[in-house]
Amino acid sequence: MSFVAWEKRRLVVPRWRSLTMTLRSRELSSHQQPSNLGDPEALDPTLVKRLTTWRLSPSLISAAEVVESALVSGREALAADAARRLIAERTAQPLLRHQAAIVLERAGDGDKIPLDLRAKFARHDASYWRRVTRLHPHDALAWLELAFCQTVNRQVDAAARSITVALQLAPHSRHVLRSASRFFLHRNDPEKAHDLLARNPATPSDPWLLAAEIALAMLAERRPRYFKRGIQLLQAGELAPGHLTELASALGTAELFDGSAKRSRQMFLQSVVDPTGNALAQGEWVTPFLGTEFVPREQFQQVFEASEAAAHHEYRALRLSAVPELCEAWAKADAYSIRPYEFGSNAASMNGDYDKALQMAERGLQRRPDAPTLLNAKAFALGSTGKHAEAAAVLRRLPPAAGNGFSAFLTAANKGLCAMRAGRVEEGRLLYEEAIAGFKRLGDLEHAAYARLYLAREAVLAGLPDSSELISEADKAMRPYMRTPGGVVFARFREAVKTGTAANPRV
Amino acid sequence: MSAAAQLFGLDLPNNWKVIAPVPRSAAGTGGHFSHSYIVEKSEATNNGGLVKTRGFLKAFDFSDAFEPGVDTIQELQNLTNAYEHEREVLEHCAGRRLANVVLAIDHGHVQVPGMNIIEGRVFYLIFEMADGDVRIQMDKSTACDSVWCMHALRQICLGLWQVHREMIAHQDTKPSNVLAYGGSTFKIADFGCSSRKGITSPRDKLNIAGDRTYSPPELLYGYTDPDFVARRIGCDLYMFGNLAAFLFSGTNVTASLKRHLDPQHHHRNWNGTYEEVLPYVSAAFSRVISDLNSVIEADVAKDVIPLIQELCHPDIRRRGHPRGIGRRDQYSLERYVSRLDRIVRELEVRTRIQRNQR
Repeated sequence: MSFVAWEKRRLVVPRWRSLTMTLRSRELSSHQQPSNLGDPEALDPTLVKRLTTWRLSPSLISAAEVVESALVSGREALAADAARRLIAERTAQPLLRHQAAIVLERAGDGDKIPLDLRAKFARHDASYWRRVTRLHPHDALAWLELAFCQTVNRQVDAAARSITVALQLAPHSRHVLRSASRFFLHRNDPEKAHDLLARNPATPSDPWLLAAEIALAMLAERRPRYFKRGIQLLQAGELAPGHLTELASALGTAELFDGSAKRSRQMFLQSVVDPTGNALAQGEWVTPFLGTEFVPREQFQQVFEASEAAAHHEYRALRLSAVPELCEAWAKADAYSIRPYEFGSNAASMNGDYDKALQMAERGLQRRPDAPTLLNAKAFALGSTGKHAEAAAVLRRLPPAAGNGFSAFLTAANKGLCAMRAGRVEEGRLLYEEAIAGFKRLGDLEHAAYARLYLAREAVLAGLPDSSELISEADKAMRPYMRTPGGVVFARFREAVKTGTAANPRV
Repeated sequence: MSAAAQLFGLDLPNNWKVIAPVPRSAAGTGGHFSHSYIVEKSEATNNGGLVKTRGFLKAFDFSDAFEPGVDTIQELQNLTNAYEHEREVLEHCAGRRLANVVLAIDHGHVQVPGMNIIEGRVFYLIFEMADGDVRIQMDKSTACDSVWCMHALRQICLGLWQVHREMIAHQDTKPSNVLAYGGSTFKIADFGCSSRKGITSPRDKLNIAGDRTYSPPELLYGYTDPDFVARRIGCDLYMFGNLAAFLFSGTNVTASLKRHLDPQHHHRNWNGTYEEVLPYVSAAFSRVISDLNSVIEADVAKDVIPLIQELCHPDIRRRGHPRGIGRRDQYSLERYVSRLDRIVRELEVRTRIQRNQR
């Protein structure tokens, strides 16, 4: 059986991706108010002098000097002419021409850059970053990039060593701290992830670190150390909404779990003014709990990394066919997480697209080969397409189910599916009944109803004499969940029964 | 037109004659408050002949002090102080016989005819005339070979080390201030932005004394170390490393850093501290070094790249020779003088062998 992909508890834990992607998310800009270092609009006298010289006597040298000054002053638009000249000069030193190209790009004339000078986006692997760290051992972010690649490659111990170096080199850096805390969370050590932020002197003054501290405290089942400080920062109104988005989202989530729906709602409204993809996803996740639509539709197009939020939105709107593709985009933003694949595989299963469900489960298993949810998702997709022997083999890879947990009952239901399709009807039926009883014991009536639904499906397929009774029982159990993706499955099944196509093994 | 812009054709004390103005485009070395000229004087030799000496005149332009809305007395005092400071530093250096420093061969003042005694008085310094500066390295067609660059680097290193021993920080070591004499001698020019330990200099109040385009990143982000040596001599070390990068690639490290930095971390957009932005600057620096590595010839890069890495390190605490980090002599160029001596000798031998093999 497939399961409800919607998490019962989602927290605004920091996202960890490559530096290039993190820069695009704007979460690494400075949050402080402008200082009084000088008038930001005043032109650098050196640049003015060089522009005059360039206009009076244009030459390669005067063009190069204008380009250099403009880059240093951050006034690239003023140097576009000089940059064009420099690019045209074949005798100019190669790096000067590259500088001119970036000036043109920042001046908005990127289309005039020759192909050989255009910036190429390169995705570097661990061996590249290992070389960089050897050449530049003091570059904390190179160590972090190396750790990221190692984590994606499942070299977790090596990644831990790289993270330690990065933390030693830049112990107060927002990017390093957020990434490191996410790494420790990935290692199943939420206490260490939280300690890292709770004990760091940079945290109380940085809204991005505060947001992470609050979320990680909840994961570590501790009280957030800086909850009040976060509220103060949010209420002070001194920072731009873009810097407060994840803080408001984390505080709103904490308030929701504390039962303060009103305060939570206010904070979520604040979080979606200028959100990150993470805050947007949280806004979408919380919508059914608070009964308020927080995310305006246009934000799915405007916000960077909005695919997780969009996937949740489409799932909630029961447009399941759109979900897997969005999950693939989400997986790019969360390069080592299996969550996008769990979500996408389940949505595809519920939509009856078992091939897609299988594909997504397999891709998720490449990231974490022993993930019980993904092994179950794969087994269910295989079993539903008639490959029950393969499905049973997949289920045998699961570690012995621990106690009476959710995963154990999910596995029992899927074993039931394999048994029934293999003709061991009674055994299958018993396994489904075991799963239903188990879910009920956990108080999880929704999954108990799903198990009943899939038992009815298998009964019809096997041509059992009491299949009509099983359909009625499933109908009764599924009634409260007809507006969920499970309801879509049930409606499809009922239609197939009505049209006489329910015996199709792929229904 | 200011008095300083009207010196062409004038006769100056000590038989100097102003024979040509130097257009700003070609000079580039002067500060924002000066005009440049070529001057010449004829001196009789012992055998009755005449020998002509040419010099480069830097005329201090005080006209800004007389602009409407300016506190004339205060501005005149500032400009006079600037002139006095540069003259005193040069006289101090002249007394120490610093071989790789462009010294003033004369100084004084002249009255421009037809102007009143205050506005028409121009103070000037005359320097040895150079053949050019090292900016020719920007153009592949005029760029010189590695041996020439290494000689320039060694001599400028020596010049800076000598002034550092006098507790003078140059603070404006940029390509246009590295002058070439006869193709094999290089000197560091323009002490207008310099600071002396224990003596108040006109530019002490400024966060960045020299040209911002070549300035170390910490100063651009407003970080100022209270210690003279770390702040001022540390700035010279960076600019010297920057010069090394320039000589061998035609580009400057500061501009290259800005090329690789995301605009949100540009000092114009950054409101946090330097420590907060340092990881991003360091990451950009790694990319700058990789770029330089790709354009500098391999047999030179093995010597030059470590030099640039050490001298231009964006973290001021890690700048300087690795053996000196954290020690009193961290910002001393002494080790680099001997290192460059060795590198130049090795390079000369290697080049000679290569030529003979051809």
